Amino acid sequence: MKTEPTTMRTNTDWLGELQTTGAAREAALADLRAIVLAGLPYALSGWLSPADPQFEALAEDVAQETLLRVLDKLNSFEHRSHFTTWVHKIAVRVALTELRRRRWADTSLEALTAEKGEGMMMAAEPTPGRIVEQNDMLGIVQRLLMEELTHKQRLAMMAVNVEGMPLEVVAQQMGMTRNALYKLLHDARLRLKRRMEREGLTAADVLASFQ
Amino acid sequence: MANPMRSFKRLLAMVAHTDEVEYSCEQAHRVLDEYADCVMRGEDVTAMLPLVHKHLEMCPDCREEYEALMRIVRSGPLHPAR
Repeated sequence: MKTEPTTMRTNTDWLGELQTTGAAREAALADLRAIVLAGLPYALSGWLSPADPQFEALAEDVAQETLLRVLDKLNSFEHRSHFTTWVHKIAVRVALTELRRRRWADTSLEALTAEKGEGMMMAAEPTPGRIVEQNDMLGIVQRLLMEELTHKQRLAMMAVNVEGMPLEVVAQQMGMTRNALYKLLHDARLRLKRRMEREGLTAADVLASFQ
Repeated sequence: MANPMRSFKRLLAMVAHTDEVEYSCEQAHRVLDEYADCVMRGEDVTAMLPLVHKHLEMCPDCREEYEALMRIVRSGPLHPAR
């Protein structure tokens, strides 16, 4: 695998060569592809080893898709970073989207709901081993979650904040964009925060009781 | 699945730190490259790009992507002239 481009370019060089035609453009594309491929082992550290049989095919697909997106979005590059950092950012999004999809392919929100029900804090329910104050707090938070949040918000919070599912995977299963899911979760957190304040509590107070 | 009590505490911490206005994933992603380069230059990103910083604290997906990007830019040789 080629690991390093043979030339160093400024942002202006990159844009100029990628927007032209002919040999200069082809050379720039080849170097950019090499840069993306060289970065992926670092990006995917902890996700997929370069020694894994799946790595090479994934890297090729990611490089291909990244170049397509880069060419498509070239006019949106704002010169606020190194051009290559911008390209790597796009490659990382492409790669992690695919790896998350693979990792969570067998997990469905429907199954999660069926298994755990509506109360997202079921797994953290009060137990005899905890002190009374903690049990009271858990009960209060559980009630506020049920009263203040919509079913959709509770489901999203359970999946993302309790089960650790990626927003991207949850969003896809809920039929929305990751951006919309983040907004939904932000709204849920805000609602909870405001409601707790109306109840004379703050999340920090509740948290302190568990320290 | 993560430890339930740990998840509960993390969620409470997130609620405690929730701001009225937060960047969305798209807004944070748009400037993530700028943020990463600022970090590489040793600049104070909490002051320069506070909404991105906050979003990365709150959004696990974007944080993962930021960390992956930083592993690349910190690898050095791939960081050419601007």
